[in-house]
Amino acid sequence: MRRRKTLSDILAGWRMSEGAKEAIKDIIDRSRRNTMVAVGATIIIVMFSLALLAPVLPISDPEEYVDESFQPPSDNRWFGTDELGRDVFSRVIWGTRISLQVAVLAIFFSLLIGIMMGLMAGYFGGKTDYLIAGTIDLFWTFPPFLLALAFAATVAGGSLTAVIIAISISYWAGFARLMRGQALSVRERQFVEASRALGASNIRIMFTHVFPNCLAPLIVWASIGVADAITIESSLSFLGVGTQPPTPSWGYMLFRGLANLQEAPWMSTFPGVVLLITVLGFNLLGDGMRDVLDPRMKGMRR
Amino acid sequence: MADLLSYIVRKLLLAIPVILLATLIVFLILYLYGADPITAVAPPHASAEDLEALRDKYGFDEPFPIQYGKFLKRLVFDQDLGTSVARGTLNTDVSYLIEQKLPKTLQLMAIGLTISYSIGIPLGIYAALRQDTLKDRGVMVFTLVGYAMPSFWLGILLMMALAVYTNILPIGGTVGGLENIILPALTLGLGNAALTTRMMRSSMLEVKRQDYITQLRSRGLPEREVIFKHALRNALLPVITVIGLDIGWFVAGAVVVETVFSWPGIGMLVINSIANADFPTVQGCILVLALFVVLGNLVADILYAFVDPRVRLG
Amino acid sequence: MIAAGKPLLEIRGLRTQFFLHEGTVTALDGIDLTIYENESLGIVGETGCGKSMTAFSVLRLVPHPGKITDGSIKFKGLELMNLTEEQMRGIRGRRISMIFQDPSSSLDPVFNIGSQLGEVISLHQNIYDKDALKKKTIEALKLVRIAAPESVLRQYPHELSGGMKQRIMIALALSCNPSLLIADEPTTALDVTIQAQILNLLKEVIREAGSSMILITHNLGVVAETCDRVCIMYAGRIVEIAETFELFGNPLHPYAKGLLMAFPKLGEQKEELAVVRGTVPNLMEPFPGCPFVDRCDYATNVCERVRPTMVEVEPGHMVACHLYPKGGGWQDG
Repeated sequence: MRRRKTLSDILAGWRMSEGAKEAIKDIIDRSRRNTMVAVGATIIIVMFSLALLAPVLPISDPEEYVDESFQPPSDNRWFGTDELGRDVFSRVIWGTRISLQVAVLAIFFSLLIGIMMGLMAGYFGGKTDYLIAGTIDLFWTFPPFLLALAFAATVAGGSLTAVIIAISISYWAGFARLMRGQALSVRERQFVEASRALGASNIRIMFTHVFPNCLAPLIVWASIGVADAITIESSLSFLGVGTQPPTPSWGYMLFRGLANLQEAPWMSTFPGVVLLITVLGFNLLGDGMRDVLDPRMKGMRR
Repeated sequence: MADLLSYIVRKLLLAIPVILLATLIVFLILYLYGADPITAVAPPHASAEDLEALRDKYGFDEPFPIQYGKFLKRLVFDQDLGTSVARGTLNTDVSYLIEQKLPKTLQLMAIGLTISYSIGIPLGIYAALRQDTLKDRGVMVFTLVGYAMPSFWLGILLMMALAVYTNILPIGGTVGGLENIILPALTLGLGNAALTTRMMRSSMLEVKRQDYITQLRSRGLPEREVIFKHALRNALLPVITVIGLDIGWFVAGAVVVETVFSWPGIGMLVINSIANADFPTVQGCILVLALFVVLGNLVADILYAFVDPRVRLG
Repeated sequence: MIAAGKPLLEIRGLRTQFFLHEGTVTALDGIDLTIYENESLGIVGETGCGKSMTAFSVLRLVPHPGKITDGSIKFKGLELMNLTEEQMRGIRGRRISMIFQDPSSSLDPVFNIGSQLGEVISLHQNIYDKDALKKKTIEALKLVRIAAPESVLRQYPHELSGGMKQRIMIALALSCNPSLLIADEPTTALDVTIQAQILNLLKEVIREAGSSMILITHNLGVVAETCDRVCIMYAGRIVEIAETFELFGNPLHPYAKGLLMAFPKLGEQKEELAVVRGTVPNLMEPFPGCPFVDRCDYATNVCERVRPTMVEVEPGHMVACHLYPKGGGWQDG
């Protein structure tokens, strides 16, 4: 109930702002002309399509031993086979599904944590702010990968959920910093004072005024966050503390590829290239959107 | 000077809660592990009396805060990180294991950082001075790819290029010799060089637009002095502020890269210990890595104060 | 003083354009202007009319992607447009110097005052001895009435007030006795109480040094107090030039009249502020007529089509407006 109300509040906030339509049209126009956005978005759309279509594509079961081991790429097996005779092409595509699933969910939860923490700190100020800001800074100091490694190593089993949780609780500090900063500045502005005088509640003000103002940078940093999360997930599974075999995961495929680098270089080359392209896609989209939305927005991590 | 000193002291004091948080997280790793944490610290096939003795030593029966307090006390006063429970290193002091591996990781990070800055800073300046030319675009493509590249994949690629197909360098680093460090250090350095280049370029472009640059030109100063004395020093400031983040990146990267190249440092120790369920060692390693991060940030803050006169007041 | 001395700087047909993605902006469109020795000339106009760009063009420091595309700038008979970058550097700071609008952003924040001042003095006067240099820098600070020069030398820009920084900027600009000082809105960023001090200081040091000054401002009050002659710019062109006294008493161009009406006279209580209606034309599209046509109460058909030329209406009083057809053609005063 409450959730629905706040969502409509956000929409109301958007409708209220003068010339918002024109601004959005302008943003779309400029996005079209931005090469980075175009290339990034294309890569992302292709990757998402592959991830969604993986179950219905005419490819073999990624966990089944379909052929002889170490078969080089051929017309039949485009990316060759691995040391157990599994189809690398199919595993790369299913790996996309796993990777995107983990990264998108992890960033979604990081965003939730970050937005809540940042809004509360920035909006209420005082002791609440002091406490939360301190926590944010503590988490901000440590590289998310290191935190995720520590968490992933603690939670036994290494299920997908464990990896998602590990990344979420390692990555939120950046979003929280962003939200807190914007909430603090919006808080100072007149229109918040005005709506407070009209009797709007704190929660309502937070969602109708602060949140829409932070939307642009959040889109940018969420995109870059997904890129980071893909990197973290693949690094964790490369090190054996992330997604566990036999689930197809790029990181683990590269780990097996490293062990067989001389005999079967295709085992690492193909997942590696697709991994790089995917991360690049999200980074390009993020960087491009930043240029489009606000050229002055710089200097967060990366 | 007094300003500077009080600034440093203040930064040192601020580092304490960060270190405390690190120990807390590290402590939680052990505390949360399994139903009976004693199984994590006890050697396999330990007798009932041994278990009792350990339980007593670590105080697992007591409430959480007291356990944490004891953990801190052992850490601070005895530098006692417990003993390893892995088969090969059973009962060895974790602090001893770490001491063995620490220099290797420090070497790797030092050479990596040197590579990163000696590529990134000049390349960033080069690109900024040729803004919007083909050369600048080329540098930007390098940075985009460089920072999208996960470090283990870059490591594998470099290994393919320089070791597997050309035999220029040895593949692994188990020996930890000089020629073995080149590939891992290059992997670490190149990844961060992309970030440094980007940072340096945008910072230089920002500074070039500043009024004081026009002011200096209007005084007839030679362009090289305007750029390499005034603009450079100002443009380096943001790069210095992220040295702390860079070191964090290197610590995280070292874990991955050491594993790729079997470089015998802390990173490989922590991964092996995770694989062997040697939790006291994992705990110790992560604490040391966290300390690296905190120290890195501290160094960056202090360095910044020396270069930017404006910091000392604030 | 009467504008009858030797010409110091002669600008003819100066055109400066910016080449942007969206098109070409003509920031300066055929500027003709002469500055004589020992005079102060005010350039007045609203934001974006090209007054600062005139200054940057004279020093050939037009920022990227701008370029001087046409015209001639002669300094003591020397054509600046033909100089190499190296030779131009010998002019900048030594012969023609500049003061900037915002002293807070115009000093390098990471070097102390002593080293910034010392750098310029050592460059232009070839002084490399440490003690001699220090003596010179202290002299330069004393020149701009700084009471404790020794301690200021060791300070950094952020430790000084805005007025102090502008004094240092003046010291930097005058440290090598330039013949021409260009002051670009030197008091705009300062507190009102400091503004008068800095203006008086500028007047004094210019007189002591026997230099000329171009004072760029949007404030007619500043001009009235400081300048011998005034030049009024609009949309990248000069619309009127006259001696200060003459211009304030007898403005000719409708734009100048509007500006003066908006400027409250001493002791006068204005009931309503005269607003010059309309907007400045888009400098990206070339227009054949007078740039002021849309805002002018006296505009006729001819103003739309034909660009007005400079006409000398009174001796030394020139205006570019079709309302004043007498005389005809440009006459250099």
